[in-house]
Amino acid sequence: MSLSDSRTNGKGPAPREASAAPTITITDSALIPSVGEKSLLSAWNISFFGAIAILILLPVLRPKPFVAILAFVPDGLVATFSVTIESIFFALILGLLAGLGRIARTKVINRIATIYVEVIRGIPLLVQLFYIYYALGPLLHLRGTASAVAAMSICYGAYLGEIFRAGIQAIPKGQMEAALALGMSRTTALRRIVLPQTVKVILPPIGNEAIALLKDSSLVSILAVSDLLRRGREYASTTFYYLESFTIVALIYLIMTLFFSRLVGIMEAHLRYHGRKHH
Amino acid sequence: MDFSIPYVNAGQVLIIRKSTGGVTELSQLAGKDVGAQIGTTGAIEVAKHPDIRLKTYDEIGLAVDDLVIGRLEGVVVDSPTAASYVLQNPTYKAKLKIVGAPFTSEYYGVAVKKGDTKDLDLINKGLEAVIKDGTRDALIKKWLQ
Repeated sequence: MSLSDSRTNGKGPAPREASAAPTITITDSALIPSVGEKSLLSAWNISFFGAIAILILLPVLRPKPFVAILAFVPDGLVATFSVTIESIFFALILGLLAGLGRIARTKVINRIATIYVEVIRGIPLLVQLFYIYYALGPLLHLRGTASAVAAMSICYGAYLGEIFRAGIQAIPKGQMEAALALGMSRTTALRRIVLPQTVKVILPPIGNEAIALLKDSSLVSILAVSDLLRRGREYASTTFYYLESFTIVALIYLIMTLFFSRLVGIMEAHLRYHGRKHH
Repeated sequence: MDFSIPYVNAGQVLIIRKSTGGVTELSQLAGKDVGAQIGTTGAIEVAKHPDIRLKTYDEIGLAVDDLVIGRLEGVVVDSPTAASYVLQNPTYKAKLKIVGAPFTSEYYGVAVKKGDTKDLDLINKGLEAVIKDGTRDALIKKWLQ
């Protein structure tokens, strides 16, 4: 998928020699399982049900630390979920604005959107989290969760902005031209003709960003937000069951991401099916 | 290792903002956010009060920063660390204060090689002398309170 490679190809001199040099393409969509794979022993099935089986077996076979860990750690699920969902919501809004800004004809808007994307993509998320929480803390007065959501949204808004831009640009020019020829304004054409088609194109990469955000939400544990990872660390730091705690934390994250990647895969197939019906 | 006689209690103390009035001990912060460093005695002490919301930090400096900003109502940390933040750091000096004496007993002593009674006796004799003539208390007053 060419539209999602903007993050890997966006910067640096890409060698574009005329001779057909061997190339590899690693797309963002790598996470999503191919829906076509029906085998009972597909990689997804083995990983997902394997993780669930281990999560059930561990406390049964070794109740000593694992029952206590399972009682202590899931508290953090609420924080992990609320940070993820709130962040993806605000990141989608920011991303759409940034994406539209990047294709805007007005120079100022275009420049602002591009600077936002370039600056934010160039700073690690962990550094941004620290920055928004501590450096801007005296000015913003955001609580732990709120500043975590702010930092994640701003960061992922930039990533999603590039997906929105690529998605809009992937729609053939003829669509816009035809809409303009029919007498629509540029805004109406964008809203009623181009964006609905864009949604279908960008759903898989956005689903992947949402899953990546779920994983990156573990970084907010540095802001004293009691998410899944921090709960695991809090348990481990007083009992010294580090390996055991991180095993449970890893399994819970894995089950969640595998579940959501399958969900996105199904949604994508659904859209593809309904998209075809119109033609 | 053998240890000398203890010479100072480096137990946990509570730091609050100077503007917070009327708080003399940790239990009065029920229902409030109190910070401590993850895995330390401070965090364990705060966790003993189920009605206080414990926020754990990777570094105690981050917790102290949050206390100054107002995201926390108190920070529990061992007294020498508290002293270095509250009494010596110019940024925090004007804004924070230590409340009361250490409420846990975590004594500092001098470690010597096991069986080295010669050095241990020398150290103990010296410590006894400074404790007896009040030098120790004067130093605690100067640096830790």
